[in-house]
Amino acid sequence: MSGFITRFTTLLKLDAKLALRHKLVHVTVVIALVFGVLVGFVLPSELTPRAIDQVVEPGAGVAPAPTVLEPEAKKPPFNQLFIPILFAVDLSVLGFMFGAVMVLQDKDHGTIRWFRIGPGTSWDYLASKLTINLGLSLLNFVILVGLGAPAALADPRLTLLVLLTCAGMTLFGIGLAVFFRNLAQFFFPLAVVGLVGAMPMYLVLTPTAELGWTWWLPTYHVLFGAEAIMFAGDPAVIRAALGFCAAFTLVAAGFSGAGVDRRLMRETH
Amino acid sequence: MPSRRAGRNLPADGPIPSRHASAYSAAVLEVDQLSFQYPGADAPAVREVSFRIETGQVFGFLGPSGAGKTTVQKIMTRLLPCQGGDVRYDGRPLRELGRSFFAEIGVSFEHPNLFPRLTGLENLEAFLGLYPGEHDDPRAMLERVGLGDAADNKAEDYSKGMKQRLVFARALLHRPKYLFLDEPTSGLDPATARVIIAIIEEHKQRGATVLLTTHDMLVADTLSDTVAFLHDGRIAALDTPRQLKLEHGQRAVKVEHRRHGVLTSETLFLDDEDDRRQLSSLTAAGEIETLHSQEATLDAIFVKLTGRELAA
Repeated sequence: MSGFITRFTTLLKLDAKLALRHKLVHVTVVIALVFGVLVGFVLPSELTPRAIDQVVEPGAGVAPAPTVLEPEAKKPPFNQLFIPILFAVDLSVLGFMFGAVMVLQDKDHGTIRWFRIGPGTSWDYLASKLTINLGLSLLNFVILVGLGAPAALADPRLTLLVLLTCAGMTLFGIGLAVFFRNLAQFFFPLAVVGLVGAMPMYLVLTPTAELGWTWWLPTYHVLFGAEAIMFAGDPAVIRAALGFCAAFTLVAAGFSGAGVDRRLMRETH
Repeated sequence: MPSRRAGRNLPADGPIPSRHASAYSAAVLEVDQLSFQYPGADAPAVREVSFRIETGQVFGFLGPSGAGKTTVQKIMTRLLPCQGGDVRYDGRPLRELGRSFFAEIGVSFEHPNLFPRLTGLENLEAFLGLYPGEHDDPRAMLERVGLGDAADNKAEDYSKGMKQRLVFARALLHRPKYLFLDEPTSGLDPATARVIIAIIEEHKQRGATVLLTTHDMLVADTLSDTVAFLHDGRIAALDTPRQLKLEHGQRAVKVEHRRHGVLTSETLFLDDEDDRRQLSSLTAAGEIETLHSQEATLDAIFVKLTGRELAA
């Protein structure tokens, strides 16, 4: 066990240094700050419903108010509605991308061969990269939520849900990157994962049965799970989201573990 | 000292038979009937290669590019799977060794694999914590290979030769029992190459077993206790450099001497009685201006045995 801890801390220090030198930390902080400031200080917390005539032709007389289904229902702040969406389309995708980038850089620089002729194991390699990416995700989360909806930081379920999803996406990214030679080749899977992962966002804008299949995506659960946690939604949705993301992370861990151990550490070219 | 077996030349397709394996129990590193074919390749890259290296010896692996030298090294360091044959370290089969085996080896790759955004010093320290036991001071090692002033520069700013030295230094840092050096002097100026050779000799003195892969016959000749010529994946010859040169060279000297003001050059064969008498006469008369032994170079022997240039 002490051997693992020594190896793990060695790799952790190295990966942290590389994350800094490759500016992954900088990118994370800048993105989180931009979205955090946008949500916290630029977007309004409430929109005043107006009829289309009033918007297009102000002062054209009193127009009928727009129809609202539940006028008495407590509406979540408009700006904070973007935070769950950002968990799905920003944090999760960044986790996927950074995990893959770390593996592809090791392939590109040949440092994976260097690692392979040392006493470190596949699990040391994976654990270190996962931990660094979770650190980046946590940093992104704290800045974004801290600026956009500070009170939500107090709910550990939200942190747990977001970190579980990011862990799963990071592991998925690592596992998938193993099968590609370089970043240029990986661009297409990255684009596909980014686009498909963002699909649940459209359900927020336009609820529709046609996108029901997005229930199978972790981004669906982090989006609607986070929404339920932040805006006092259905506890069953929260439980389902946490359960799904935990299961996804376990499956992704198996996938990336097998990929790293059986393929990355045994490549012949 | 190389054993009698190691002192024999082997035919191109005649590796050390495995039935002799028990006689090698004293050998530290045994390679037996190693074969390997890359996926999709038409022919094997390595064919039934066998040799052994005793503790504290330098084994020079010579051959042109594509001969299979690096492939053998990769199999021995488990970067490639052992498809056919066997490798044993102190009698322990490579296939059965755990990850701790990697703490015993140091590998210097021909193509430097470094973290470009880390400094030279950080590159040396990067994986050092993975190795148990004592290790050399990274900064002192950088000084030793002439990179002391560049220790805090990023590796991406290093020249090819500097990267080569950095990779070499990294391989030695944890004082490995087995050293695999792939073209360690490639691209280095003669002065730096001499430093590298001196360091390899020091590690040999401390008992490290070295597999030196090179196509530089001067380096191989200087360092190796035993050399093997690899050609088309097969061992074409395996012996001490001295024995190879005696066997394939001529016992002769080339003499330049001046008689009656005329410079004359002639080759005198030491097995010929008249030539020996002539040499004695020239020596006694003090007329010799230059004298060169005519032993074959490893390069020439390689060409003779394989029909190919070593540096090709």
